[in-house]
Amino acid sequence: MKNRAYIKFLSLSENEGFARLVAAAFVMAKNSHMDFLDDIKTAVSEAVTNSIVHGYEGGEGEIEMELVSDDEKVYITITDYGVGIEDIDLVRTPLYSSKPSQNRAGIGFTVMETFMDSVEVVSEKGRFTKVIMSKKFL
Amino acid sequence: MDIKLRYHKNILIITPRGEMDHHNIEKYRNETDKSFERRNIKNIIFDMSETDFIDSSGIGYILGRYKQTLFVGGKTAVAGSNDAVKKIMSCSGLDKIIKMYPSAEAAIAGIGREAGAI
Ligand SMILES: Nc1ncnc2c1ncn2[C@@H]1O[C@H](COP(=O)(O)OP(=O)(O)OP(=O)(O)O)[C@@H](O)[C@H]1O
Ligand SMILES: [Mg+2]
Repeated sequence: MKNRAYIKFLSLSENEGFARLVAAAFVMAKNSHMDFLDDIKTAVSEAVTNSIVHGYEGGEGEIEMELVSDDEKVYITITDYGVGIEDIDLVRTPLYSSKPSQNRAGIGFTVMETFMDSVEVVSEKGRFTKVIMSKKFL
Repeated sequence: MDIKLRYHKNILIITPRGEMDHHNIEKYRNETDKSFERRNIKNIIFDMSETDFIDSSGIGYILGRYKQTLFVGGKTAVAGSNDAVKKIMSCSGLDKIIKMYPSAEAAIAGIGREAGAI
């Protein structure tokens, strides 16, 4: 059976926890394995934090999260309309961070790739960044 | 999340309780930075036994403290990690540069032995 949910929220850091919980609650109906939920929460946290910190650079904007599931997989798409990414290959390099001085390790994308089965980034400089992830249910 | 700070000689023991994400770290950054400077701390132990969640922001924060203690000739250690914490520590490679201990007490003993903290 196919399911779909969509939320839109402000780029406030307190919404990082909110988005994690929403994603976990959505997948829980199909898979409530703790490890699975932890992986989903971590990946969502990475993408949403990136939208807040890098996309909107701490300023106000809107973040969208779309959750889709079928019997096999969950698909999570997180979109912001912030600064965008010029060179996607560069920013996906492990340990790359454009803000290393602020205690950023530059491992967000590596974490998403490790915790999810697939991670796709679509972006246009000055317009938007979209991160599409999927993971097979255990 | 809240954060518990305690001291043992020149070791600052930070216990993040709950979710160690970007939001919570920003909330407690001032408090932990101040206690590091004010007390002449050389070493830091992160006691993760009460940490339910951590992402790259948490790793970045630990890495930042690691650099800080390195600068003053001390150590940073991570103690009491559960599987979720261990997973992100290893995927970031942090487990290769920061020593992991089963408990805060073991970390205190380990740092004491190695760095002559006592
Ligand atoms: N939504 C976004 N909008 C604009 N730039 C982004 C976005 N997400 C990521 N980036 C860019 O990609 C880089 C790498 O992201 P990644 O999450 O891997 O590391 P980080 O956020 O810098 O550090 P960490 O996630 O370890 O705290 C960022 O430093 C930033 O330059
Ligand atoms: Mg990041």
